[in-house]
Amino acid sequence: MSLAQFQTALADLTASPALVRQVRREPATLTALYDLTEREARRLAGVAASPGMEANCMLYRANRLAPVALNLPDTCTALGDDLEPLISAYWDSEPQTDVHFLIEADRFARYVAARELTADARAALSREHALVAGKLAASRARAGLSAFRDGPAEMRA
Amino acid sequence: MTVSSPMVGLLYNPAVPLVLDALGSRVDFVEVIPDRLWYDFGVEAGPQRFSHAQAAIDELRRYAQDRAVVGHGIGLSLPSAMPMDEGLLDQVAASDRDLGYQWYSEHLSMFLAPNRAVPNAQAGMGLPVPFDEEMLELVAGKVARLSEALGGRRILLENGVIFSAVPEPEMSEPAFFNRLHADSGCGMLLDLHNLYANTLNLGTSGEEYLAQLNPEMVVEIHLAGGDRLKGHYTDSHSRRTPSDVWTWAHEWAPRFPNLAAITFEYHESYHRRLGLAGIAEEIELMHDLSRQVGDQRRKVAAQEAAA
Repeated sequence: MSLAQFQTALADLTASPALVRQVRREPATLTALYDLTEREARRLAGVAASPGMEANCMLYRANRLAPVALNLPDTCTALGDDLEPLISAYWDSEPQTDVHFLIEADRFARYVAARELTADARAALSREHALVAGKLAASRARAGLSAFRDGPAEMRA
Repeated sequence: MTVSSPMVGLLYNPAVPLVLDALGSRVDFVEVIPDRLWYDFGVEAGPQRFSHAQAAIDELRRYAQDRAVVGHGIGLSLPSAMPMDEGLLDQVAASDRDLGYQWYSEHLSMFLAPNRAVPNAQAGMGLPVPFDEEMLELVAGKVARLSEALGGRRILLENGVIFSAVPEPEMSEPAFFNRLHADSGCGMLLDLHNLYANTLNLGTSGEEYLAQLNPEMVVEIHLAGGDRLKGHYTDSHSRRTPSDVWTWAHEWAPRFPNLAAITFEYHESYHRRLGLAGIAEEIELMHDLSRQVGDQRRKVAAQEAAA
């Protein structure tokens, strides 16, 4: 259980530069938030204090941006300077990433659609969100059907 | 020890068919990331959890014909302190039954934590693991389960890119791989570019790392190129292999008696930047390396026969 807490804390730190800053100021934050052994707490404090933690946080954000940038490129362009605060707020509200690119893009599109947008951004979003939703529906329609010969038992018709 | 030369291949991505159409006879094998062959709607979707990418699988099957295939997963996250994802494992096993992997590799990095996931974007990031007895036991058990699910298939683990090493290790990373190999038979996928990135980011010695490895366990080598990012060096799979990595490859690959494959990894978004000519040159350089390894093996075999 303790290793699981260590790994959860490490994932949380990677997703949150604010938590990294807090732990750097006050390492005891870790033991307040997670059930850790003394060595695990020291290890995490060391990771958080390392210069490489910035790279972890940057790559987390870059990789989380990837499904949005790939599937909603014109929307991102039309949002311009509004993209950064919008997507940061989205990540705060949806801290759990989804490995399914279309689900992640669809979720962000819904989040943005509920905000005030310029006409250009609204038009780009409507067009691209419709494409994403279409692909997602097609993907869902195929779910449960095996494309492999001798597929998993639960996917054999 | 085999006297044959290692195979030369590419990590398969949606741009690789362009390379295979032009240079197919020079590519001995493709390395497949099965996680890219389906969409995962999550455990809560029940029997509708996975949606196979039919067109991608059909295309891969065509290009895999008459060519060896190896599997290289990112989704099982063996070092995670949670039970193996048996649903995902079923999918990996199904892909293996269809494509017939020569072996299957995963990463010695954490991509999943309880109720958390790290977006990896294929070439992106895994988080570091503590090199200690607890992790060794956890990973060895998962390796055994994975091999069992794949009908006894050989399993390899890849050394990862580490930006912030976990302090207070009980053993070095090479010692961890050596122990894992001794305890479970797990082989090593030695990513020389990841090692290169770690030497730049952590200030460690690549030569010392390589000298500590049990040479018997290295079955595959990965080559790739990366980018500088605000004072860090990333394994972005965006460029050709740096010259320092080639130097290591030529110095060390002939010392690995069970080395069976040399793989170049690049991400499809950089296909245009690399260019077909650039990728062709990488492939020919890998063939040069493979020949060097084969020549060395034949020399050793002749010496042993004469003794």
